Amino acid sequence: MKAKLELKNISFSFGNTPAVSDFSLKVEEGSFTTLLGPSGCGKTTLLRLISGLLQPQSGEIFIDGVNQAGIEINRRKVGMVFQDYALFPHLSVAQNIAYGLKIQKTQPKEELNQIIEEAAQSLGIESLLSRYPSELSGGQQQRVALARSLVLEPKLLLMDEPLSSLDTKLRTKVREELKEIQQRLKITTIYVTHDQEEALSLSTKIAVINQGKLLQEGSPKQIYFEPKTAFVADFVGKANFIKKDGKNLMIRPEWFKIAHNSSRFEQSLVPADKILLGGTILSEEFLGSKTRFVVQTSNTDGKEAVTADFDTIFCSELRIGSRILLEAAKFWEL
Amino acid sequence: MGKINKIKQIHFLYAAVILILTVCIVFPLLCVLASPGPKDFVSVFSSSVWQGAMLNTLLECVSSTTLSVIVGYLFAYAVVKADIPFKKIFSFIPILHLMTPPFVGGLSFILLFGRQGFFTRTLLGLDVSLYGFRGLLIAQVLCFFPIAYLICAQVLKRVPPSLEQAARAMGASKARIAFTVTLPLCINGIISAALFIAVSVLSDFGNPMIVGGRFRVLAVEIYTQLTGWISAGTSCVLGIVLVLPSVLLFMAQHKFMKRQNEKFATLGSKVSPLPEKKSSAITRILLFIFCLLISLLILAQFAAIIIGSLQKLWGINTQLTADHFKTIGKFGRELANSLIFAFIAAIFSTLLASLSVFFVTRTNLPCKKYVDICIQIPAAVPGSLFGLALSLSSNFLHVHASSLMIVIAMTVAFMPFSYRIISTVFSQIKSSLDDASRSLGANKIQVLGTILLPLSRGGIFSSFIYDFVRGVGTISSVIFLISFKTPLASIKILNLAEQGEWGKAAALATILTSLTFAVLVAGKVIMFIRKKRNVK
Repeated sequence: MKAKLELKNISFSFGNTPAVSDFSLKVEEGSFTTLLGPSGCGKTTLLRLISGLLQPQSGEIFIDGVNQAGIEINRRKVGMVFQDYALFPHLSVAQNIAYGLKIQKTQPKEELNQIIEEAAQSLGIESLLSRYPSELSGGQQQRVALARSLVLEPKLLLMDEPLSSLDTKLRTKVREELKEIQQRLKITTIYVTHDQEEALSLSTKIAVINQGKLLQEGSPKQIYFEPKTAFVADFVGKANFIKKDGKNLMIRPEWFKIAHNSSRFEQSLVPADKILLGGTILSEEFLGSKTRFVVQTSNTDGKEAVTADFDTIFCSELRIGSRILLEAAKFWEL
Repeated sequence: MGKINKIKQIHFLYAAVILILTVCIVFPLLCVLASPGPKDFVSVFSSSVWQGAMLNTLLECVSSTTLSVIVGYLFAYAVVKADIPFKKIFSFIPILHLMTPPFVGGLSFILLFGRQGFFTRTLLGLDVSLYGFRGLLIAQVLCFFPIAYLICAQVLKRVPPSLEQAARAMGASKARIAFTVTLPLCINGIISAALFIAVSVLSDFGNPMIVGGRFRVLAVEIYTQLTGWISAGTSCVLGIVLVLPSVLLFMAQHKFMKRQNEKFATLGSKVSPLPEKKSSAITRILLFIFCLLISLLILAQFAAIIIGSLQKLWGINTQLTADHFKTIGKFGRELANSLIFAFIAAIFSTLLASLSVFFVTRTNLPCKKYVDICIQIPAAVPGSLFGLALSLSSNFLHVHASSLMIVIAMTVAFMPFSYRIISTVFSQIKSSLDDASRSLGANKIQVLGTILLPLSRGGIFSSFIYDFVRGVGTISSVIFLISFKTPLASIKILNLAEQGEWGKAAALATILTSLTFAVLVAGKVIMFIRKKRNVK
């Protein structure tokens, strides 16, 4: 598939502080790519570079194969959805959606109204057209922000933590809507977030970033199951790091199963391709469907506390202080 | 092609703003700096007359400023903290006064405290003259305490009651809290108010002109020396002597205001809604009487002007008459000029201030600092000096268009205030709105036109009204610039008062003040209706 967006070795620094360094990435047409990283990692700067709000100090950005150097944001044909949605408070929903079309003055008036109607219908906000942004809920505001960008048929849709100003419950709902809209319209989307759950559930591709550098890119499953570094492993979910025979292994808490309710076993009898860890339960944390245990283990490589998640209904007999034998159903070598 | 045009558009506009600021502000002031020779400096500094005037100016500045700040702070404390009765009404009085054209103060002073004054002669039967230092002090304190009140009230409102309550919990009395907690927390704000007033006192022209008598101060002498071109050099030197401390005070004022704001930023500006304990009964009664007296004095000024315009001869023949108003017809031209010039100037001033704020805060064009400084210079330059500067530069350029010069003077004089109002409003507009608008295809000028300006309508409108009201009332910055063809009402009032035609002066002042207030009220009503419609 051809690349819709290509970043080639771009760098940007604020004064002496590098924000993005030697960053390269390809984004395919119609994909949903997430830039994932902790706050201050440079992901928002990256988005602003792609949008044209900032110009890279070195490197090149191509959209549809065209070098974007010197092209300002208003000529790039990229749609942007902001953290606070940035709806124009003095304009009604319809006027907000019409804003970009009016600036470009391409359509006659009747056509304009029709385009707005269609966009509103497609996003389910046709009943809100005469309202003002202050009269909308967070989820509605987001759909208006989307509609406002999408009527211009942008080449790329850039979204900067668009769910972070919603409360937890609404966030999941809007997240599902967002995914549905993106898949229906097949618009190439670049999404910035620090929330790994959002990244995993929405994306076709995730790029994990730290300190302005690309650590790993891949599908959500690749990133989750086959992280290249301990940082990536730890950032996209809870991870245990275990040394065995000189190898660094990563095991996610839910990859453990209970092998035995006691720890009387002979380490020497463990087959080489299996990982068994015996230990004492230090603490438990009830998370609803799952319960998280911290187990103090001792194997040949020394003592270590590991975290293991079990389905709550299957582990009611486990107590703090009880002995347990954990078996890793799966592990990943870093 | 279109792209190139758009880029040119914003650069062209920016260049125009820089050019206008340079020609209308920097160049005239350079003319003042360049015209006197070393001889003029020597003669001014060695003359005992000018040494006296400098000392007088210093005395005027220190005493009027101190007294204005004390009165303003007490008034603010009474209204904001002490919970005196009728505080709503009291809080409105200084604002009303601030919106009143400045000639009202000077003229009403003659009617109330002059030889035939209502207080001095009619009530007390005295035959004294308050003209001179004492009179000037009274007039200036009445004129400038509202500014101190506004700044102090704002600062006091932001003192978290929780701090005062903590002090009370430790056993401090309310009076002790007022001096050991509240006052120290406000001190930077109070100093900033004092410095601001000091600059205003130094540039005050109307009050010393009307009630200063033989007490000579620099702001007036700049003018007196130039009338009839006695000595342009002396006039310029006096102006330079006056402008240096003004600029220093102005810079210091910025610093203290910033410090005050920073202090509250670290304290957390959220005001906790805890109930306040009232001050003791005696304090409240004393503060109430104080506010009442000050308010009555201010209202007496309006009353004096209105009654003065209806009496045959103030203090001597108290028979009511409409004669003075009948003669107003003769001053139609003055009134029309004042209103038209002030209106045009208010438009330019607001427009230039808005553009400058936009360029300085929302773009990364070069020379932003220059624009930022240029536009604030007039706040530190006394009006009479600026008038002098403009007339010198117009002579230099051989431009003799009096009305143009008057409009420029009015535009420039009040631009710093517009600039402050509008930058406050702009700073409240989130930059993500700019980015959103840009991402939807708007260039920077379109962002300004479709987002920033519509969203700051309120601030732009108040800036316009403020400029208009000040422009109508101004004397100092235009007194050099009027001609037979372009008379102004505010100057005419001054002339009539000087000639002892108090009735006519009062009638003209009444009409002009009413017209100003009418515009003010109309503006407020329009704003109110728009707001209501927007809420719907």
